[in-house]
Amino acid sequence: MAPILEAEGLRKVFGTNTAVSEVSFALRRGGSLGIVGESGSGKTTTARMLVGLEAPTSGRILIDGEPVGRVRSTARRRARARQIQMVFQDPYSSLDPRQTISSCLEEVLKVHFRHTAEERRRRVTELADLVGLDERMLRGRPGALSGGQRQRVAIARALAAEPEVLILDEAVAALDVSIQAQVLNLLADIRERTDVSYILISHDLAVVRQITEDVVVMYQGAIVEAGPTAQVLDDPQHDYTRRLRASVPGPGWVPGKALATKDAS
Amino acid sequence: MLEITNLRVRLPVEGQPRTVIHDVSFAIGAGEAFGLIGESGSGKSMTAKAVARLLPEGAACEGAIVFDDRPVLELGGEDLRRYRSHDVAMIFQDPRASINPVRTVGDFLTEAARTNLGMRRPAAEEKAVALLAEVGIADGGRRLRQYPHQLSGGLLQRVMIASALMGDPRLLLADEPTTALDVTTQSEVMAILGRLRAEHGVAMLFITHDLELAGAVCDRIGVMYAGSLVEQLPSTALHEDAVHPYTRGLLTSRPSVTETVRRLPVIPGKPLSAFEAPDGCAFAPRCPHAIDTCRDEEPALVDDVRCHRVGDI
Repeated sequence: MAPILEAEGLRKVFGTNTAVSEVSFALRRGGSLGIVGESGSGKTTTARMLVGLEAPTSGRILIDGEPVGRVRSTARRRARARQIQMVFQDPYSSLDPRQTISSCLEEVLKVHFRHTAEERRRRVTELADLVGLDERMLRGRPGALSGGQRQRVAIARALAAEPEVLILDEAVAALDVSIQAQVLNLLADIRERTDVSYILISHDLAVVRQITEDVVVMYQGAIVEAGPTAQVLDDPQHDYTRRLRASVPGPGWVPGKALATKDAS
Repeated sequence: MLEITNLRVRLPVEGQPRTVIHDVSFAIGAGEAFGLIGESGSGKSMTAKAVARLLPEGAACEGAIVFDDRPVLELGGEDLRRYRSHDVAMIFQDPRASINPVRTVGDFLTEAARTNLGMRRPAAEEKAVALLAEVGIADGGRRLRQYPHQLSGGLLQRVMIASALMGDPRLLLADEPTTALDVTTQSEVMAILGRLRAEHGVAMLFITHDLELAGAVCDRIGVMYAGSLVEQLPSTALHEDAVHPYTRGLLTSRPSVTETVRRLPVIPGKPLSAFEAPDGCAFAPRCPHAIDTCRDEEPALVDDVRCHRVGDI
């Protein structure tokens, strides 16, 4: 079966800066792919190209085997939006503070589907159930919700369009440890219950280990290592991946030890 | 050197006093690193602000904070100025938010030394360049003429560390100093902090939400929940000997970089602030071991653990 999403030789140049060069990967249907790297590594620019927020300078993106071209008509742009949805890092700035949660979800449904009012309400309840939001929260506005609850809303809103691929851009990074675990379990549940695929953009290797099967490591705009997540993290081959891996605190960790290999890179 | 006893802080919110710190007691010895861990709203930053006497106006404190036999909460005027300029220094999470973007790095680094310590500019700059070298910035002279936007986040946080050390403080209050940085940069900055603490004999109150990081760089760890210190233990005992259900929950709910589990064990519910906490043990509503006693009676800190069920679990 063709991968649900493929990037082929993606390249993005801003002025004289090359943000992303020669990035290629494939996400299998129902799979979960991590993109790791630090600030400036090009991981977010890559994600923005995947959802169409940036146009690649060169290279192409294929969804379900079909190359995605420059879309001019509203209908085609919507069709593409339905296929890929994105969840952003900050649950505080990605929701409209004046809109109730149910109207926020309904709005997405109105754009993408021709539901009757009754069908739409039922679908909102389904989505709320999927991410663990109750009736009271649906009637409220984002201000009444905690960070973890808002991130559930953002995930429900992304799922409302019934996308093939969900791009999670540091989607659990801003959450408290105990809430982060709840959202990570939720993401695992959703993938089991629907056939959505994930691309997880993260700098947190432990989160990547928990919810992805494959990973690409980006450094200065290029992929330096790729493979099954467990293999890459347990036996990193590239010097940068080793340095990244050695920077994760844990029992017996000594800060700065990872730097010993820095000069070799 | 620093001793906090039964600290309790209330802040006025819309005219109503709200408890933000319920009951915190711990001590930091000279040269020691103490890690204060907790989720948002637990009161860890407020504790540091109380120590630095930087609480917002209208805050009411009870209990005692003693620094070298001086009662910090009662200091005023010249004594308070001296305490802040000579004894404690603070490093914040976001370096870009705590530096004036239109003044040079040199102005920023030397300002306190010139106004508080009466140093002349050339002497202050010389000291700044020496400290920049210690935090791994070799071309300090050039950096002093630069503006904050010309420096990366990692470099700027090193400038903050250098600035905190300008007054030769004896206690460094570091509030999530590496949270905004990349992991490899975090590793570098923590290594620098560790080395400087050893060389200058500076004690540190290190505030973080990252248990593993605190365990790796601190001597002892205190865990805060809803405004109270619920457990205190040596870092080396963190994984083996932590007994409070909240500490254990934090340790197990974090995913691991070395293995994948089918489901992460979670602490249900969300973290509470002190003023939202119910009667009895604040953690009881989220605790798998809670019994009626936990909901009715507030547990006391016994042998560094605040839990009714410590003997049973």
